[in-house]
Amino acid sequence: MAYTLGEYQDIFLEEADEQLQELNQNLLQLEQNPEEIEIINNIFRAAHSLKSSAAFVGLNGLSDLAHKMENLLQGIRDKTLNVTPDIVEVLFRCFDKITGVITTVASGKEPTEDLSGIIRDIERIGTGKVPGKKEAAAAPAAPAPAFKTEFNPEERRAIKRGLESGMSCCELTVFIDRSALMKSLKARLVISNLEHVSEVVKTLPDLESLGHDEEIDVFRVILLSDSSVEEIRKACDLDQITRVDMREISLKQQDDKLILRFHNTETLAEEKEEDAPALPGAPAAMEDKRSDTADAEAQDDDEDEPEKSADVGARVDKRVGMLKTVKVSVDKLDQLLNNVGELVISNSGFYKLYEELRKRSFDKSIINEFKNRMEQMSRIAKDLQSGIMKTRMVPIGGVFTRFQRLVRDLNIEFGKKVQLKIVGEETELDKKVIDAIGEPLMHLIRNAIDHGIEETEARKKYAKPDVATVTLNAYQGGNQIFVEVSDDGRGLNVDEIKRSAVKNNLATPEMVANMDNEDIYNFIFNPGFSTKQVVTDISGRGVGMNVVKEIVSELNGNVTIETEPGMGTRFVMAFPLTLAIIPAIMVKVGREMYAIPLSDVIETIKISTSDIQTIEGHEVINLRGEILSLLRLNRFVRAKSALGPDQKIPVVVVGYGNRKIGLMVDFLEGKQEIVIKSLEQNYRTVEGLAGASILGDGSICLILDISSMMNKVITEQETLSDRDRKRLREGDFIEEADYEEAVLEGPVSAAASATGAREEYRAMSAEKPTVAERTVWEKPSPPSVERTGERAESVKAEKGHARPSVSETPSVAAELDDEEDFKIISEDMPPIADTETPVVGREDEEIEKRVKDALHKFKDELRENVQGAMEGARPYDHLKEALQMDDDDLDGVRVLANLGITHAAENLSKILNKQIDLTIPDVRFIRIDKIPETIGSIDSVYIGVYMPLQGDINGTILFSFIEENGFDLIDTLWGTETGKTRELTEDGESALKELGNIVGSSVINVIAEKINMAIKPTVPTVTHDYMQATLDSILVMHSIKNDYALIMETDFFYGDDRVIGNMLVLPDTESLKLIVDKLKQ
Amino acid sequence: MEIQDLIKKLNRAGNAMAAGANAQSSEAGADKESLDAIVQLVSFMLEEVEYGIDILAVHEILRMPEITRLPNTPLYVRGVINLRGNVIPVVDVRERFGLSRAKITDLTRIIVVEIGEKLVGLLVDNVYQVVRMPEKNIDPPSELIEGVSEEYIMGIGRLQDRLIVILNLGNILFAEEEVSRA
Repeated sequence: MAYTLGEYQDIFLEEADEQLQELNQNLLQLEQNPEEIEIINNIFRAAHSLKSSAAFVGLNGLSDLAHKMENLLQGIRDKTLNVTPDIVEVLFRCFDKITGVITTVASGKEPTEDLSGIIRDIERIGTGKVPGKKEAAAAPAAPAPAFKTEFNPEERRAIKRGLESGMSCCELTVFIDRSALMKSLKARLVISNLEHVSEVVKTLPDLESLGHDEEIDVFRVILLSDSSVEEIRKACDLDQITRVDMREISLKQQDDKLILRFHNTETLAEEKEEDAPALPGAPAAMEDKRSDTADAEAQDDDEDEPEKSADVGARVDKRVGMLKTVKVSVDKLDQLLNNVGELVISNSGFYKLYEELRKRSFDKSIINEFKNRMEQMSRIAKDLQSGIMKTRMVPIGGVFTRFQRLVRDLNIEFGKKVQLKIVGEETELDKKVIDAIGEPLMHLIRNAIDHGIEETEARKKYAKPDVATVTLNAYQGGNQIFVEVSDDGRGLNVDEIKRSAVKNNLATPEMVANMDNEDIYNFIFNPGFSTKQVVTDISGRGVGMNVVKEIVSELNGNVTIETEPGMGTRFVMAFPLTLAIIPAIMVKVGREMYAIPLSDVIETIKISTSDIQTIEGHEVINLRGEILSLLRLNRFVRAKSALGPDQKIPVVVVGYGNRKIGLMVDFLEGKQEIVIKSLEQNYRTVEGLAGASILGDGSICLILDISSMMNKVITEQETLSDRDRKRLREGDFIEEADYEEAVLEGPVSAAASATGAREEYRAMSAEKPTVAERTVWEKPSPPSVERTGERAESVKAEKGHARPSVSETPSVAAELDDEEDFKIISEDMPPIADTETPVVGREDEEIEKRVKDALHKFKDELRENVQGAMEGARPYDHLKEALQMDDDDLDGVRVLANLGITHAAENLSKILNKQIDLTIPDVRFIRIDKIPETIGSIDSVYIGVYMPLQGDINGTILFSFIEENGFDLIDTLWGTETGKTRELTEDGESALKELGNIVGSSVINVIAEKINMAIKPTVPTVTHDYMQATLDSILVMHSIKNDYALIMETDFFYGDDRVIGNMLVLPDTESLKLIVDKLKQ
Repeated sequence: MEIQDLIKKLNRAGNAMAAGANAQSSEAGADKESLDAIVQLVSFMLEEVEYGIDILAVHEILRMPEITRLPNTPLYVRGVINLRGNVIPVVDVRERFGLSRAKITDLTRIIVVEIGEKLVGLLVDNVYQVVRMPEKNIDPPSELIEGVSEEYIMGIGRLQDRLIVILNLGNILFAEEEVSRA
């Protein structure tokens, strides 16, 4: 265990480093200009803060040394000492000593340096006073109080609370006239006065001794107050109170820690005493001295020649492992990250340019050079980006440790015994996530303790450890960071969630019956969802989980639930590594570009108009047997579609939570990394938009907010009656008409294309309104082909002399939209065929392919990450932990399995009269639903023989073979020609049962013998189905409830390498525990 | 001695009086200044009416840039523009005042103003001039300005025979958005 000064160590080391540098620097200067008072002041200040911070972290030796240094320096400042080379020498040695101590601490060792020698040196040299001035250095009028201001945790909390609620905190040092009588009474009077205007946190010495000790003439009061300084001063304004000093105390946020910081002392009131000698320059020194925490020790008067220091060379800086940091505000980093994001994005513009250059076949060498430079720049930009991203990363440990207290409090409240285990506290997350993650974590922990963890009695019943564990874990996987909260409690109760979901009208009983567990678990994220009958103080209101989901979504993350009845629950929150830049799919509607965050995209498909069906007024398609609701993006953003009726419509299938929707767009434009800019910064949140992004060419592209879009659509769909819906559609129609006016007539986007061609531009804008009016107001009630055609003509004619290329598209698009609207309203109408379709010169296929590739890659990565994180070693650990198994135990099981299966192979070999080889049994825990894919192919039909186990152990043994192998086996057993058996007959079944019996029994017998338990296999059953179905029937018939299974998997081979089959032993969890216990004995 | 003392006293009194007079005059000067405080306005014309915006609120004036439409916002929000990496909304002042939309011309400008912490672009037909006007010439919005509801007006400034409607920027983007949507 490394030596540490506690949570403030880093701050202290950092500060001490700065202070030492300052000290060294200044002392060097002082050596040159011994008379410069400013330098002495600087040194004095640095030494003083070093002293305080050393005392703060408990380095008392260092604090004492600094104090002596300070005394010496004060002498210089007061001109009672001259700056001599000796003094400078000693001071440098002091600094070296301090550096030594700090280096030791930084390297994680306990400082053992002996400082007494150097302290003696200081004391010795400090007495070399300037002759004649000795008298002037008279003792200060009032000695500094001989106590240290220290707070216990409770006081700290009180101060923190007070400061957070807006009060100010300060430390008053009150000096009572030494000659005063009844000093204790005076002190109490002052305190009681102060209590009127403030909250007294602490007094030094404490009230008790203040009340009795007549010798106390200086005392300190720590108070919280929102009164003015003047009021406080008045409260202390009593006869014979000679002086009141005040130091403000404030909270300082440093990284994740809060520290109390003492400010400089200021004197509020001082009774001038005529006969006191006025010392120029002294008051300041006195104040500083009084504000000190240490004792005022008289300096020794021994006259000794100061020792010549032997280690002059040792003052060379030799700091090792010192933290060198600069504090930068998050805002600045954000700005920087934004800029770098822009850089990365504008860099992507070069690729386009490069392609263009290549096409036009300029000089090859130049193009290559261009490419090299471009790539180099892109690399630099990426490096810069990841570098800056890293600077935003903060370890999560600080957030995690905060919850120790919460867990402790909750333990008391619920009478449960829960310990908080923290893993992966060094994992770094984006500062924004760190700042926001506290709340979801709090809710999850509360839920785990309130709902998840059983009462102690219940835990005893299940033979779980009395002390439950809630684990906070953070780790990185691929491009994501996972933060999880897991408990070893009772797990989620699917039935209860189903019931509540139905009760809360979140789903119908039919819906619930058809949902898989994952989807059912997700119900708990719904607002207002609670299975608790009783709403407790901390949970049960059904707000918490919703908050979790929302906050996590806001951070572009998602949360998944893993639960195992009786074993516990695990909430895994996955966050992207960085929040500022996201990959997105760019789509176009009309001429407007929108970005859809790739994390929301499930797939992209292409449909034709004829694929679209209408159910209850909603457009849907049948996507591989699933009904997928469609949303026309152009309607959502109220723009015109640029697609003709015969064109295939690209659909981006997006998902949020467990809902899916197909967004119909005009074009897919490919994948791009985009920097998110908030709209709120200068405007406000806009429904359906997550923000905006600036593209490589400087144009703005809006980012769709899939969750809010879906919510809007779903609410509309669910709350409106058919009639309302119809009206809404008509309403939409009108609004869209309005909108057309807006777009058509305003050359908003045309303006940009026209820059640089002012003449044309003006001509065009002059032209436009007429067209617009016609388009808008002449909207045909039932549109006819003839009229639209004519209009298109006229538009073209009018545009002819202006800029046809610019203005043509929107007008034509308008036509199409009219037609489309019409089609939607009267759904039975056949689509109008021969409207002019805009010519779209783009390689759709290629873009589509690129989008798909990007999507696949993204999904694969995501899957890998999630799997790697959730399904790799984790459940294994989970179970291992629950069973209190260690690797040795597992090895034991492995040996056992090996023995049993070898025995089985021997027997099999005898029966078949063939050489049987087998693989070393693979013993591991896997999820039951993963078994099929683990031990074979999902698509193959298997013949299996399984035998439930009876006796001390519950479980099943399964011997399975791929269909063909099974048939071959039957042939071998019956001695028939290989390849004859092609279906499973009764005879075949009985042969297999027999085989299973022999092989299974041989395994079980060995195991039973080894662990000294009575186990025997029961009557074998033959199944002929897919592996999943086989496993399901085993699990259902024998009501095995575990989600994870210990599998002992062995492949049997004939001598010629053909696989016969494999064997699984699936003991249930309890039995597994028994086996392990037995093995331990 | 006495005379010298007297002279001293007189001198002192004289000095004090002079100081007092100075103080008075400087006070008067300050008063006068506040009366004569000059307000500078950036003015633009809409339908024959001149409007003014306090120059201190004006961030910059742009020629028509490319505007990206913002769906699901009131019609008077024309969209957002890219102002050196900042995404800022643009309000069509005509539309906001219930006037019909005008065509974009060479003279069309976007006045970028600071409203609180936010930057907002105001789309106007033109920028007329910068007007200097004594503050005392500004009256509260008592007179009815045709077409423009009172909430957008901070006051009416008189400059010889000109009337300049001084806009209350706070309400121009954020107040009662829903109304104009209907």
